[in-house]
Amino acid sequence: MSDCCPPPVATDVAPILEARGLEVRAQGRALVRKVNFSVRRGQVFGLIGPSGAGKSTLLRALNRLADLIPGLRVSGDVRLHGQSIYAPGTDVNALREKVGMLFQQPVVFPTSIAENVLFGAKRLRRLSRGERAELVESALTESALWDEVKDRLKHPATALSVGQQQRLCLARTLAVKSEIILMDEPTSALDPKATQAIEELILRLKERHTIIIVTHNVSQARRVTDWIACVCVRDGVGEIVESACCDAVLDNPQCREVIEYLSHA
Amino acid sequence: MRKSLDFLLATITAFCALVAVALLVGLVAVIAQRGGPAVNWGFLTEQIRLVGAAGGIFWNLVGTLILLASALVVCLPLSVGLALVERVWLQREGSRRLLRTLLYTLNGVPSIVFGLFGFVVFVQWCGWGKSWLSGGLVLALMMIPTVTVSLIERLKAVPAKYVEAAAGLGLNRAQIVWAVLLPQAWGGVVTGSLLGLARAAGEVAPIMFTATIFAGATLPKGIKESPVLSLPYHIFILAQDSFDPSVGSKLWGAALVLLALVLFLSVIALPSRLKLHEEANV
Repeated sequence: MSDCCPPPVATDVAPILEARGLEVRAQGRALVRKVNFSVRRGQVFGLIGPSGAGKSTLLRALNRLADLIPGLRVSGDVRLHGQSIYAPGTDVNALREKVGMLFQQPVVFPTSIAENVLFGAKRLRRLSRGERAELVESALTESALWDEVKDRLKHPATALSVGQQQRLCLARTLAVKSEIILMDEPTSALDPKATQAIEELILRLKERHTIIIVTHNVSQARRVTDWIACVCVRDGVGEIVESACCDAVLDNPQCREVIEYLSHA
Repeated sequence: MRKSLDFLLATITAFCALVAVALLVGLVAVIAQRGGPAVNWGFLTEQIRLVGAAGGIFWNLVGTLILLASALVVCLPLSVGLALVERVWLQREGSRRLLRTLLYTLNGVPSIVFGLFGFVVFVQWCGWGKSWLSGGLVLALMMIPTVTVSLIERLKAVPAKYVEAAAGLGLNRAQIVWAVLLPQAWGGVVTGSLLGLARAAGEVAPIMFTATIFAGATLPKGIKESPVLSLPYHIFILAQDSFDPSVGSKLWGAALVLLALVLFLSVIALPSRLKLHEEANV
C-alpha cells in the first residue's frame, strides 16, 4: 500500500463492505477469482480494467443480482457490516434494498416520472400521499433532477433524455434509502455534459452514501474515485491485480497488466 | 434464370394467399347470403318456436354468452397462474419444458374427449347433470393452453433489464410479478383469452353432453340440472335432424350470428396482437 494519499477514513473503522476470496464461475469456468477488497463508508471505490475482465459480473455478486443470471455460481464471501450476504437465510431482497444498483443503460419503467421514483419505495414501505410527494421531491433533488422535471412529474419518464433517465434511476435508488450504490459504467451511454452531471452527483452523494463504480474511463476514475482496484485478466480469468488509492494506481502503477491497460486507455 | 425463378415464387405465394383469402370471403359470402334474410331484430330477440322453424335465437345467444363468460372466469386465474409458474417459479429448464409439453398436449386433445371427460366428471360424478357450469368448466379447460401459452410468450418478451432493475431495488418475486411482469404482459392475457373464446364459442362436442339442450331452457336458476341453449348446438341439431325446409334460413341465420360473434372476438384481439409485433421491432 502506498503512502501517496491517506485513506479517506481511519483504517481502524470496520469496512462497510468487504469481499473475501470471491470467485464467480459460469458453466464451470471461472470469470473472476481471488477477489479481496474492502470498502469504507463514504468512499468512492473504483473498479477499472479492460473489457471482459468480469467487472460487471463482480459488481453483480456484491448485491446478489448475479443470482438472477442462470448458470452463475458465486463462491467465497462478501460481508456487509461484517455479516455474510451469502450466509443461508440471508434476506436477499433486504440486501438489494441496502445495496442498490445503477446500470450501464438507464432502465426507466414505462410509467410517469413520479411513479418511477416511487417504484421501489412505495412497495417496500407504507407511504402516505404526503410522504410520497415529499420523497419524490427529496430523491429528485438529491439526484439533481428536480428543477428540470418538477412541472411534469406526471409525464412519461421515457420522454426524458438518456442523461436525465440515468439521474431518474439514481433517484429511484436513493428513494429506497440505499446505503451503498453500485454503478456499472453509469456514464458510458451519456454525452459529456450528462456525464459531468453524474460525476458531480457522485462527489456529492459520497457524503451520505458509499459508491462502488465500474468505469472504463480513466480520467473519470481520477475525478471521482478515492480508491481503485484494477481488474485484469490473468490466465484467462479476471483478478484484482492492483489496489491502491486513486493517484497511486493511475500515476505509479506497479503491475505489468495495469501499466499496459493504462497506456492504451 | 434467377429473375424468372423469383417471379415463379412470387406467383405461387400470391396464388396461395389468394386461395386463403378467397376461402374466407367465399365462406362468409355463402353464409351471409343464405342466413342474411333470416337475421333481423326479431331473430335476435325472440325465443325459439316450432322446433326452430319460427322465432329467434335469443336464449341460444344468451346461453352461449353464459358459457363463454363462465369459461373465461375460470380459465383466467388458472392460466395466469400456470404461466407464472412456468416463467417465474420453475427454475429448471427441464420442468419448464415438461409443463409446456403438458399444455401443448392438452391443446391437442380432441374436443369430443373433453366433452366425455366433462360428462363423466361434472355431469355424473359431481352430479350436476346438464348444467351451464359443467359446460363452462369444460370450455375453460379447453381454453387454458391458448391463454397460458399466449401469456408465456408475452412474459418471455418482457426485457430482462426491467426484472433486474426491480430486483435491484429490493422487490421480491411477488412484487416483481405485480409491478413489472403482469402490467407488461397483460396484452398476452387479452389476446389469448379472445382467441380461446373465439374457438370455444363454436364448439359443439364439449357442451353437447354437459351443458346444452335444444329447447326449453332460459336463464339458469342454479347449478344442478340447469342447462342452457346454445348457438352451436342449435345449428348442429337443425342441420342434422330437420327435414322442414322452413328451418333452412333460420339455420343459416344462426350460423351467421355465430360467425359474426367469432369474427368479432378475433378482430378485437387484433390491436393487442399487432402491438406485440411493434414492440418486437423496437
